[in-house]
Amino acid sequence: MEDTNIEKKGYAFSKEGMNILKEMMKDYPSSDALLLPALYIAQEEFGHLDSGALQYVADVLKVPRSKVFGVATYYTMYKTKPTGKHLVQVCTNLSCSLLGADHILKYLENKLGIKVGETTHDKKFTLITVECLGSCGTAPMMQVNDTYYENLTEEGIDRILEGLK
Amino acid sequence: MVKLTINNKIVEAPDGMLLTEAAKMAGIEIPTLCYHPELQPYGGCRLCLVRIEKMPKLQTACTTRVCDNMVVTTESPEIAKARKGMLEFVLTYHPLDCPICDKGGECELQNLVFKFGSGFRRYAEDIEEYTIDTNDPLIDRELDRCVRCLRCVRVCDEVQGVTNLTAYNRGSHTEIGPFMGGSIFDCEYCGSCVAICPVGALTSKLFKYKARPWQTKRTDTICTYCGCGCQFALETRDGDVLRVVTDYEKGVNEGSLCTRGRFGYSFVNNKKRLTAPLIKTNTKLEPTSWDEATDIIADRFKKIIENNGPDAIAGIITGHCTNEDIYLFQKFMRLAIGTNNIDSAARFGYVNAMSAIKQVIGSKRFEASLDDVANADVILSISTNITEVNPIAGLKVRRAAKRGAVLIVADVQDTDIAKFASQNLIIKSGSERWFIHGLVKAVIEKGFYDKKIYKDYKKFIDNLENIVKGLSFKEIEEKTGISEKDIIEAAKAYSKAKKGVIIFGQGITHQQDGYKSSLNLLDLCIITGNIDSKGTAILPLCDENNEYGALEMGAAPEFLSGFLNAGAAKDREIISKIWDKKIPAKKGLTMPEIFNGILKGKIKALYIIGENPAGTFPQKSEFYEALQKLDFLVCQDLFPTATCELADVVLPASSFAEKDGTFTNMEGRAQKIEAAINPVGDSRPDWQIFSALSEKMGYPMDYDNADAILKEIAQVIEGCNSKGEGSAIENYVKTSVKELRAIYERKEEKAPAKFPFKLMLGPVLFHSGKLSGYSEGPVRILPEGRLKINPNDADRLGIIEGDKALLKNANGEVKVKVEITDRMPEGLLFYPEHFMYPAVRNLCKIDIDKDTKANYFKSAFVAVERHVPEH
Ligand code: SF4
Ligand code: SF4
Ligand code: SF4
Ligand code: FES
Ligand code: FES
Repeated sequence: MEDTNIEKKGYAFSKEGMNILKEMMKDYPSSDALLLPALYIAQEEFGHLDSGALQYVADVLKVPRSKVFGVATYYTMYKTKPTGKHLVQVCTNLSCSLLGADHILKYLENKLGIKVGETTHDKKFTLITVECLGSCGTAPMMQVNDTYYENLTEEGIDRILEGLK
Repeated sequence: MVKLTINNKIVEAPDGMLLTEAAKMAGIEIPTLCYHPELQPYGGCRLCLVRIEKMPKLQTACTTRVCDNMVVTTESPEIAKARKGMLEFVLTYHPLDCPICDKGGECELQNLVFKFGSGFRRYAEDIEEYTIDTNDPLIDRELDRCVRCLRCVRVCDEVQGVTNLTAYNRGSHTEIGPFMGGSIFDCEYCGSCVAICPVGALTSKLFKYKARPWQTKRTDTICTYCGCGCQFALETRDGDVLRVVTDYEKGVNEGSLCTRGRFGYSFVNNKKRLTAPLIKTNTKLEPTSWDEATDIIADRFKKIIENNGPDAIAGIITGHCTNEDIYLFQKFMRLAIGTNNIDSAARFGYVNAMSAIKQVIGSKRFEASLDDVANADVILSISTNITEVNPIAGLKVRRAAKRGAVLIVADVQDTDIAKFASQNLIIKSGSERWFIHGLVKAVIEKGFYDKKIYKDYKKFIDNLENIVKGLSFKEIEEKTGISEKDIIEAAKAYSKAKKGVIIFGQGITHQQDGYKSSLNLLDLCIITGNIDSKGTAILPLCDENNEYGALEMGAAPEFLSGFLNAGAAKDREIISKIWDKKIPAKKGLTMPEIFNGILKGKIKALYIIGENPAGTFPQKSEFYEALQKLDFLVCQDLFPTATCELADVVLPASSFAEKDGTFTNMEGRAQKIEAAINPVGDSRPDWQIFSALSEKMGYPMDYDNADAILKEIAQVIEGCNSKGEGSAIENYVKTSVKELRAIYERKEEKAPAKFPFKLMLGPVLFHSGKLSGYSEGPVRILPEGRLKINPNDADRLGIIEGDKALLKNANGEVKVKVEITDRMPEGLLFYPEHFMYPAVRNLCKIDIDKDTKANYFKSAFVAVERHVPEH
């Protein structure tokens, strides 16, 4: 399955990653269907999905690369651009907005010194907005990498960011 | 069939048909935008909303299949409002720049809004900014006009099988483009996406701002590039060909085209066209009148006949001419001149396949259908990069494979079609015969042959068995690089096929022993029972569009019209009777024999139509030399070629766009072409030129039009068919062991130690023959040739992308840019034959086939090094 040419360019799944994929292959009807988990593994291993990573996934799965690109850009949880170590994702959907997501966002922008979509100079934080994360009951909220932080306040944010340093 | 009600009308339709289509059949039009009959249902635009009883909400007719007792309403205030609303949505970000949009007048969105509204949009927020990209050499992308119907994405994937385009990003941010949203499509450039886009989001640079669609005249005709014989229409205005369009259901190509057909038309109006006859005065070619030019030719021909006899004259014609042209040419040579010294471009290799087929099937007309390819259950594709050489035939193979057919690909390089193959066998160049014999061996020794056939042809199969016994699988693997297991697997799959198809290309026909290899493949068909039964086929590919016609019309010393045997008095009699004049009995010369004849001083005059030997033969070859030795050379062409420069008289011929007639494609299907514009300049259709000359030669062949010639051709061909012979295969299988053994001989070619690389010249997708080089489209995509080389070879030689390589052998040296690709195996190099400069062809040698005298000059052994540029 490994293509030697691609490896040369520095894109190759780790043994574990490749094993997970091979395991999954048994449960999926076609390699198209494996695209989402494969992209997820690629993101975990390569940090973000740039053209090399997408091409690699296309080659591994034998799926046209244009399709891989289309899928990767459709879902906001795939990162096609490099991000900081901590990806701060602020929900700005209805419930969160009603409970002050706007303010939370401004506060974060000021505190981190960046605008939405940007990354801090030290490459630690990237700030983006996302749609409803299904945590409306504890709005306003944000997700940092894989962790939810709910009922946000300014002090709460201070504490959270402190903990991430 | 089911019965349903649409707008109170009882309608019958096949079960499972889409509602849009059923309505259309009943004469009820449901507006659509994303729907296209060629594509799978998608349901993206919601314009086709209809009310179906007992179903909640309005439904999309383009994704709903009809069933019994369905009650449908397609027109109501509710539906009108929904349509209007959907159109307003579509127009949310639209720039409303119809006055300067190239699609104006044929835009589906414009028409829909005109009919259903709304011309007004309420959305007042910021307009989303979309990609407007005009960097691609051929296709402009203006996504502010895009309606996200995804027709382009779907046609590229579902129909073309290229899957170059995708929709990227999401929702209102969705854009259309290639991988990473790049500027350059870098694809096959078939143009299907442009053709299918309902709006002006994808447009052709070549047609842009040239005309509104209602100002053009449309003429249905056939592509002049390759043997697929695709149907399309030329849109013209005031004598200019402006673009090529298709109807999706028409022709072998069903509306698809390759890049040559779609974008290769502008050679017709190229300013370099020859527009008047030229004669050589001293050393310069000067324009003259038709009368004078034809006088000179007739005079010189007559003198030569008087002094040296008619066999001192010979003629060679291109396979791009119509049947009518070619038929009249050979009639002119045989009757007005009185010689059988006639040949065509088919001598470069296609003649091998046809001669072999004729040997096996006899007088029966050879036919093979591309539909059979599309419907095959097993396809064996041998020695052809089919998607590049004959793209539409390639499309049929793709389609079959996508449908689940077993595809076995064997070629010297990794080809595009191989990605759909169940077996991709990369065989070593020059080992093709070992491979084919291996298949025959496997079929016989493993008992895969047809048991019924064995009863009938026992002797034949036993003989073959004896012959292939001497060849071991070990030797086959050594020579070809293909294991016994793989050969047996391929042989088994093909033998077990119900609808088995063999396709073979230049790697067989244009190589040493091409005739024998073709026969070997036919043997494979015979013993597996894949020759006569329905759905099976053996199909040699041909690159010039009318090579089949060239042979069938009799532009060959060995063939009279209808493939009659020019060497048989009985056959000559049949046609002489119709012509009312005796066909000369003396055996004619093939192309290489003609050139040898010139060198020996036997041939004094040569009449060349549409071929350019001075530009295509290796310069160090004797043939090239021969051209300088002629007493009298006439060239008839569209463009001033290198050969024209040597000519005494040059006659301007009309292109396919300027004449009526027929082309016969590789399937053996004769198809009508129609003049779309008047002859450019003072050019004339080739047949008219022969007609005029024949009169001056004292044997007038007078026809009112091309149709009158076709009538005569039909009469002649009918005459041949009445010949009536028993089943020819019955005769063929009686071939003696000795002869069979000869057909199964193998000659090894060895690279000399000094020149370890094998260089091959061949066709590529973006060009074909010289015409594409005069067309803006193909030139924009591929302006220059590149030498394909394997990455490991390149590494060893220190060559990197962008470098030039220096190729050397005893014939000389050439510098050429490289393209490093792992499609090429180590030790093999490929260069597109189309490009005359740098003259890579000069390194090649000319080989002549023992059986058919086919002349090959597409390969050479060379040494390669990195070219170090001087500073
Ligand atoms: S030109 Fe043909 S191959 Fe290229 S993107 Fe369009 S449809 Fe696909
Ligand atoms: S570019 Fe044309 S065909 Fe493609 S989605 Fe947009 S409107 Fe449809
Ligand atoms: S070049 Fe061949 S495949 Fe392409 S459009 Fe013309 S006939 Fe069809
Ligand atoms: S709106 Fe923010 S989590 Fe649902
Ligand atoms: S035509 Fe039916 S949804 Fe587009």
